[in-house]
Amino acid sequence: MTNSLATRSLNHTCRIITALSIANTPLVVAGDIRGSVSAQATYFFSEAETAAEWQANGSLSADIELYQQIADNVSLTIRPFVRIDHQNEDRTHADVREFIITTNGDSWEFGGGLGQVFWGVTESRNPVDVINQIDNLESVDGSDKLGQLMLTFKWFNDYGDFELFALPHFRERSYIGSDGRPFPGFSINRNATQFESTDGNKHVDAAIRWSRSFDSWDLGLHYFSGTARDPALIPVSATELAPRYQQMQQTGVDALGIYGDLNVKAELIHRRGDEITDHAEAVTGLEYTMVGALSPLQENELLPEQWCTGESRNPITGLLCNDRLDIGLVLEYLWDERGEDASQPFQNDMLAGLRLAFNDERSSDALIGIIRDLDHGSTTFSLEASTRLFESFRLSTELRAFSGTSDDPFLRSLADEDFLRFELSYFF
Amino acid sequence: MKSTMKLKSKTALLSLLLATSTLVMAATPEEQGLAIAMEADSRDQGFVDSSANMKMTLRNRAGKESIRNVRVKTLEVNGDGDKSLSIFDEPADVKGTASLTWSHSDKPDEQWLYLPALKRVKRISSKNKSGPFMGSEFAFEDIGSQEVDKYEYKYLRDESIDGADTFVIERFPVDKNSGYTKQVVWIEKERYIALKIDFYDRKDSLLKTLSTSDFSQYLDKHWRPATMEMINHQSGKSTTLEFQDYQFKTGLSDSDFEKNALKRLR
Repeated sequence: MTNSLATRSLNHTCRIITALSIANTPLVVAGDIRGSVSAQATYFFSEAETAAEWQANGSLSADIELYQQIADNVSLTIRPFVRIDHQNEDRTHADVREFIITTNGDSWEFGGGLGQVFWGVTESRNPVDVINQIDNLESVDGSDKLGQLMLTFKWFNDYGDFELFALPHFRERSYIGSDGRPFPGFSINRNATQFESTDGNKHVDAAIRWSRSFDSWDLGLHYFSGTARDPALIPVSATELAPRYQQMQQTGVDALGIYGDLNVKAELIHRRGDEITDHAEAVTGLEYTMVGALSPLQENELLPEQWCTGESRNPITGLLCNDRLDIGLVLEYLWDERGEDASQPFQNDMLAGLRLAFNDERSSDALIGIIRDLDHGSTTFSLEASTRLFESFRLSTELRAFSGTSDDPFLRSLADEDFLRFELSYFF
Repeated sequence: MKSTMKLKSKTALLSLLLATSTLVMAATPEEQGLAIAMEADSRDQGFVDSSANMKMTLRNRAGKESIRNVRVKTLEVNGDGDKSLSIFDEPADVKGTASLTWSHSDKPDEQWLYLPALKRVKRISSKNKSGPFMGSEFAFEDIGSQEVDKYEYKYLRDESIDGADTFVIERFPVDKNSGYTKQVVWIEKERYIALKIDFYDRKDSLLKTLSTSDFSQYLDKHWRPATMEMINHQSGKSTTLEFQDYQFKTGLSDSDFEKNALKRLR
């Protein structure tokens, strides 16, 4: 009740602000502010073997997007991000995710500034997604990315969408140090960072992409020439590694086919460079969705009637009686031609996953995944779930666990880094 | 091409049916049902494009409400299904999310979802007809473009409801993935608008009733309801849609209904 009143008065205030700005500046057409503020609590199940002498952590973050239309078909988007972390000093950081001016016509779009670009179709890993540097401090799955300085031109016609990118400034990857968690097992000395190019982080990278939708398929092709976002890690002392950012040429394809409830996905890249062995990487798989998967239980009267008719709060019967529940089965294979010499952990791995969409008024969802390394026998388990609270809040949880990692060079040190995280976000 | 031919032959049949009432009497209930559906469809042709603000109120059995606000835009496509855009403004955690649908009369619809936090446009399966739209009592197929070819028809009877003379027709979804075996539709004779629809589930028992009200006429032609209420008889839940700011012929074009336009939406 209080919440809806607050929203209403906020709306009222916004309307007054909009009215005022229209009165004062003739060019202003529309503006908008949206975003979220979040509180996060994380618990690590084991004590760390490193300098991090803590298991519980708290953290606050804000992710706000300001949008202003500055003329017909010209807009400015500014999206700052900030996190303050209690235990992980490294994780206290800020970034400008976007600061970009965009203008467009019916068949073209031009953009300049800090931007975010996502390419990809698969669930476990996106080898084709090469434009932005990942924000390593935010998440272990690389889904958060740093703003990338870019000039983009897009041209849309009957043959598909053509996109050109010039990327004049490179941003280095950040790493969690030995007093932070989850600690990747190696200390990175960023003061010793090396670049293959003599231009360093000023090397102008370039990329081109074509994409098109067909009846049942969405296809994309890209070529990237410039600094690889993922560095080689070079030993600089007995205990420290230095990132070395190499030059690469990458050609890739991504494809998504939709056949009823079955999605077929594939990402394939070929990468080469003076310091990089010519090689291919791929992620390919299937996702099959069972719409209203449990509805036959009720239709065929397999459940006791009182389970589903009463106002029962029992979560088990509640789940079984949810005839709106969609269950998705995800299966992916991850491959790197270099095998044991791969510079990334997923050289011969399988993902098996389960996606749940509850289709309730709270838009609850869950994703459970297990990635198994078929060479090293290591297993990564993850569970992510979320639900809406009080109209404008979202509560989410994340559980990650690692096992059998002793033979895996990339995951070895994560054996004691299993964690459970809760996050409450307020959206506006 | 094929679909145009089909449409032409149906139009010929329709004019024949409407030409003489004796023929209407003689036609089979299936032909009569189809003729009524085609007349309703043809009376709404020529809107070119439309947009409106939709407020959804979801009510559970205990009467607890939750609200969604969605802006909907539609582009009329001649000879095929319409294109539509939905932009979500509330609840706040889905603000900026948008969906684009190209409906087709002779092949599966194409559908994309824009996820603003990831700047990601995701192609999604359109087969999920029976799933609920945003957790409401409206299924995707209830709010999608209602093409004549998506059903088979049968005229049942004339009936008067709330003082309005109506045709009562049954329609049977052609799509095997529909959540319904049949729908019974009350179409007002004067304006050819659906006042009420009963939805029957796969067990052929009454699942939901949709009632429409507060109609206004736009461009001297197109009737649109300001209120639609869907009651689920089996779960006791209901959803009310309230439409505001209906606008027609606003100058929307094909390029507004392309997937690359999703990222620019506000």
